[in-house]
Amino acid sequence: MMTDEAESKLQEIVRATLELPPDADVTGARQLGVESWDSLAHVSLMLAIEGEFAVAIDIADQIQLTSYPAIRRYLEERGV
Amino acid sequence: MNFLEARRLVAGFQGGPRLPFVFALSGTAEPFALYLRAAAARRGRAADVRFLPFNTLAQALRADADPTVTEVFLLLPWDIAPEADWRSGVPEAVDHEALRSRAAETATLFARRAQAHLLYLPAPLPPLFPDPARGAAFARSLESLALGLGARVLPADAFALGGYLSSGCPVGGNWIGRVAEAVVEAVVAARAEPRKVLVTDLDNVLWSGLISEDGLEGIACESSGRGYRHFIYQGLLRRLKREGTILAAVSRNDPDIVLAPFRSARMLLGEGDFVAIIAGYHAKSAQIRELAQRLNLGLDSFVFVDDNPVEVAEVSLALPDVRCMTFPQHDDELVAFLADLASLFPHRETTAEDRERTDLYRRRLEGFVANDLQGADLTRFLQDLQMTLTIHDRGRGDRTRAVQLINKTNQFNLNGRRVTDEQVGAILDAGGRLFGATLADRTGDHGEILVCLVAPDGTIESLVMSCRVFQRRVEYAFLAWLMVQPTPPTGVRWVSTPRNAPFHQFLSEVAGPLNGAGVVRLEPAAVAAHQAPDIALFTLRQV
Repeated sequence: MMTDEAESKLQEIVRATLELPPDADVTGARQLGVESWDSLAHVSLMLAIEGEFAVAIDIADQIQLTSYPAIRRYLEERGV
Repeated sequence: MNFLEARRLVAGFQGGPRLPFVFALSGTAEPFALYLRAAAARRGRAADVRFLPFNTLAQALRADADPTVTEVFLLLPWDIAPEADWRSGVPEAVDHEALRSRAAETATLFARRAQAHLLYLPAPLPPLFPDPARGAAFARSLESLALGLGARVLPADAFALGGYLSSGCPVGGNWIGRVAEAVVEAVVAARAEPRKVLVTDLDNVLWSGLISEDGLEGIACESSGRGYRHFIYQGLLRRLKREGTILAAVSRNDPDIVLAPFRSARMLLGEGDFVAIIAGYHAKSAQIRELAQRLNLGLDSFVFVDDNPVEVAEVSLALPDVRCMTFPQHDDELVAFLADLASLFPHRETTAEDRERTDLYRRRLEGFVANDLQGADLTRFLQDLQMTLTIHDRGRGDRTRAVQLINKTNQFNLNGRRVTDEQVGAILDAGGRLFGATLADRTGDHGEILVCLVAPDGTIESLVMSCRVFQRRVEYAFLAWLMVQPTPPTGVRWVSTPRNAPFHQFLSEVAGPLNGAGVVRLEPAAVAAHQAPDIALFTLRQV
């Protein structure tokens, strides 16, 4: 189970990398539904997650992590 | 520096002189933008970065360099030997000699850009050769070429194959901040003259341990055990001094204590290797400014080394021209630290004048004593530390560490009084209170750092704090918290000791001028009101 602190950090990263307003609800965000979630933003998002949560994300996973729920689940599976 | 920290640095940056440069990388460079801006902001500069379009480094290299533009190249092995690029897969066959020849040609192109600054990331190579040993030797030859061009070699771990294959960005999220720091460092260093003065802290920098708490026997600086890192650091300082670098020391300590290690014959460095050894309890920036004036040298000639990030921040904020470095906490950071430090004092040949420089400047500093000028306002830095102060009722449960802290602390100690566990127990049984405080911040957990013993009559009998957390305003925040409790203390049992000057300074601030030993009265409401800004620096918890 992800801690509140980790979840809050993840949401802050998603908002910042996708340039969303500070109060935007990102818990349901998906790449297809967020215009600013382009390929470059995705690279920045993956790098930010790696750095903040000390994980190294494989290519196959990077391709799959195209929604907030998927990212959250991925991190939970790695004990974050 | 991770992503959120970089965001905070950029968001909080008040602006500063532009730092224009081209960041040349053959892969995708855009993800570096935030981290480069943050690294520049940390140095008080506004980064103005231009990137090369993806995969155009080879073309850029063949164009004439603009002498007015600062270039930093982050090179990968395949920028020198294109056949080694992972994104091209493994070649069916390679001609070793042709590879070496092309690599040498590319090196010639870099050599023509004498003003460019090179960083080399020795990423592992694909298996190019039938004989693995030949592959390893080729990798080394590329690194050797880069070194020959004056490149700074980064740790190979910074390369992330997954990210490079998927996006073209060769550096993973765990390293991108550190690589950005190295890039900005290269740009800043490009404009800097060699430094002349190295000002070093003493405790946990020149030696392991705290001289005022651990005593001469408790510190370590020899070539064994925990002293090893400090032995190596001293060795570098000794070499720098021989080459003409001026050494000075600034320490939060009593003057008579800090000289003991220098006179013990246990260290590589002696008192005579320093132009000044300044001990006191006031702002280090004030001492460095005074040193600069007395030596008649610009502050941009100075390098300051300290293990305490708060001291480093104080000097950085007050004296932005001084290059500040944090002495590493861990062995694996020592190599890079020493390389960075040595690179600030480049020296091609040593003259007799270089060797005599320390004596010359020592004469200029005769009579120098620590001054008491104010240092920088650290409020913003302390806010950024995200400190959590947890106050524990040690009147219940285990109080071993609390009693230990009272008995081992010298500097921040109300009266130097030592107590036994039985004595503390008796005070508690009679209605006294014992508080402990632990501190955590974004740099880590500092453990139990403060203890306060209050007698049944409301007099604070013991109040001690670890000197590891000096300057964080912990003592002020704790006292302010204590003063708003239902039965606040009404005084402190103050005794001046040969070692507790820091407490004297603190108590004078919160209670006014002190007149001899005895109970110093505290006005709870006034203290709480006056120190309210200090409480605001912390998230306070009570358990």
